[in-house]
Amino acid sequence: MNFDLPAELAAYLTELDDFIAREIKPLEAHNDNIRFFDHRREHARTDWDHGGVPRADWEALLAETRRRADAAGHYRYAFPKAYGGRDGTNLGMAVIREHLAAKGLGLHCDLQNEHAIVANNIGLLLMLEYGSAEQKARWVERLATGEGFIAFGITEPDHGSDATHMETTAVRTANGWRINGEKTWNTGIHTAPADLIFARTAGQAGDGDGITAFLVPTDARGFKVEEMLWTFNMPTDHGRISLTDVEVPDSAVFGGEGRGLMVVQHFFNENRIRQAASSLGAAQYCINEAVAYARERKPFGKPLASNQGIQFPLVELHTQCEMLRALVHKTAWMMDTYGAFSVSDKVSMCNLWANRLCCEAADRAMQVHGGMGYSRHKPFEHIYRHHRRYRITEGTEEIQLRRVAGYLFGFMKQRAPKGVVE
Amino acid sequence: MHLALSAEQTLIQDTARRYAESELAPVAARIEDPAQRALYLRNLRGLAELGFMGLNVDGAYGGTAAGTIAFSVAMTEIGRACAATAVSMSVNNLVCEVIQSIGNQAQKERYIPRICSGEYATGAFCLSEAGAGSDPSRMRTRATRMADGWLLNGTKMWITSAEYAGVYVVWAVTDPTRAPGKGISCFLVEAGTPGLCIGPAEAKLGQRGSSTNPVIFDECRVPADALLGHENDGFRIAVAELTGGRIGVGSLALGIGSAALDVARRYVCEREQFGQKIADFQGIQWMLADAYTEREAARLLLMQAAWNKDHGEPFAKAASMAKLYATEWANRACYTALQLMGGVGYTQAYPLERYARDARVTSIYEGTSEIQRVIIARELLRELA
Repeated sequence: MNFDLPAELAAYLTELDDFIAREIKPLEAHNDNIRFFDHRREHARTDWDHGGVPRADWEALLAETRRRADAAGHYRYAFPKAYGGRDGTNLGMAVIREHLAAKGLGLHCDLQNEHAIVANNIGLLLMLEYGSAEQKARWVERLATGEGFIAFGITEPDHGSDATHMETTAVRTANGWRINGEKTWNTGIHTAPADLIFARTAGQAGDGDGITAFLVPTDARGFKVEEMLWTFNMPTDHGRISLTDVEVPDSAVFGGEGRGLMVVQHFFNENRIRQAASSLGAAQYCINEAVAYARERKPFGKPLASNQGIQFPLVELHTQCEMLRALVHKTAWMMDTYGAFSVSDKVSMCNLWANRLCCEAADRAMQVHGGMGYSRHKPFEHIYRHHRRYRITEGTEEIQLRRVAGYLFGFMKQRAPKGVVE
Repeated sequence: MHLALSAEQTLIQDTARRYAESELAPVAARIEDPAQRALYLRNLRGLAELGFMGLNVDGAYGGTAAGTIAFSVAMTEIGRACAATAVSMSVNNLVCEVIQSIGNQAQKERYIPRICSGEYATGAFCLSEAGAGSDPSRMRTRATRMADGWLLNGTKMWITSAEYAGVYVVWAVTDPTRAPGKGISCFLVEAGTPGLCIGPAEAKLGQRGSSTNPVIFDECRVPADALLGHENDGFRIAVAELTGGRIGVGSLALGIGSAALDVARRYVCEREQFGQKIADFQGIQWMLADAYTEREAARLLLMQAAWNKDHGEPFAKAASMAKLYATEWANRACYTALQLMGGVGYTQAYPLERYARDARVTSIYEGTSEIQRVIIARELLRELA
């Protein structure tokens, strides 16, 4: 038993900190770029008159950050060496994601855009795992640099948590497939050149098998972005789309006919643990800021921190962070050691707890900071709004609970979530 | 909107408090010993003399006819001093109300005055069985029609006051061909009826002064007029009457939790650590603030449910909400009080350890917290249907 971080990982965190200080912080300070992070952040980021999507100058700044991170050899950490990466592990990613989020808002890590100097590029990981030779040739490099992006179209207006009941269908034609249906909450759809559309090709509503994933170009005839969904935290990159007699060739099938749900489960497992690690980092940041402020602020002539009413709730949260960190590390380590699907229940436990914890920590930080906490001059309202989303996306809290219950009560198989072949 | 108690309700509350403080509290620890049964039965006689065994019962049958709000506030005062005594008061009121609500004239005249007056130390409510707790519709006890009455066979469990009850309200399956709950009837069985056997008392965590036993019906014959209400209509009656019992148990729990917190509140004002009263620590103050705030919420939920019942409004949802919240709160309050008092609260030097033990069953009997949630959710969804 050894709870030390691997030495090379600890060293890498230092390397990342140096890189942030050297190349990212100056960019953040340059040309009033700080407007994207200070009290003006929501307005600076949002193109209110064009569907509320992220402004072009904001996305350009994120792209420049990615370019710098890639040039410095950090962006592709999680990818195989063959693709310029460092063979990063799930444990490594969890530790890095927490480390970055614990620094607060900044260009080094902006969770609202799933942006960080170390990419959480699930699209690329899925491409490497499930893409055909032709798909890889077309996509891998674009995904690796962060220049290309594939949106993810599984949820439908009438089917969220019950994704296997989707109504979108694809039927065979002489040359390939014809897809009809509606998808919603397709993140990144405002700029993505392709959308990974999940459609039923066989079987009955509710079946794990018979759902196929298709790489659909967003400029295909019959593919339409109907609206961008305005959210608690703006800008929005979440769109509702429709597919009307969209024709795609056989080569658009991704991950095998009828095997789409496995792609989904893989996506969720990898993404959920990283999301949990990010939430943990953000929670710790809120606690650290609240503690520092409570020591500084002196109402009634003594530090706010001398009140047990202030101390104890922060102690509770700090304790939960410690416990959760141990579980996140263990879970990520098990995924590395025994496979991505080996601990699906623990992934759900991490996710469920981390996202709630972050919301509670942000809420408490607001309370400790009083009026300033509520203002946009502090980051807590933004953190709260973003992490509130995480309690719903990538599977709601209730779906995480359901999954843990499934394994606990023997309704589901640990190594084989619905649609996954052992 | 009118949240104050009436003069009569206040009088009943004061009477209950005085009796509880002077007669019940001093013996509450001693009656935990079954050898002190005589002392416990004296408590029950005292309550009967005060008219507390039929608080919501018509005066024509010896009741006090003071209503459910009066019943609730009296239960809380009695529960504050001695939960084991209060639980019998709750069951007696429940039994009287069942008989009043569905009994025929002869049954009402025969049984209700005997419970109200104390001639019967208690009545008993025999619904649960070993295999039918939260789901009583699956009971196995059978009542078979005979030429001159009914033959009862089966075993009931968790029967409060079984050892000293004068009459037992018993549910049994009369038509096993019907769906669960559709073929159950209700009977009145008098103590001493041949074939009515009381099993050994359960050894319990709390409310030890009150006896809880299995009741066995072994070829037990009762006359035709023992049938209470209509044949095969018994399950609906049980479900309806338990609703009123929930206000009783919630009120009882409110009393236990209040007693626990009051002991702890006085203690923190006396205890000094780190050179100051521990009540001066904000961490302590806020525990009290939260616990007493929740206490008021529990009290108001109970008052709402009782008011609804007294005014003929639907009260199933309100009663379940009140029972759920008040009993869960009582357990939290005891936990908090123990924490406030530290090691000394854990000993028998204070009554707190008994309160903590007595509180626990309140979120189990008369419908577990889980069953209350089932009922609340069902009512919520029904409102939209």
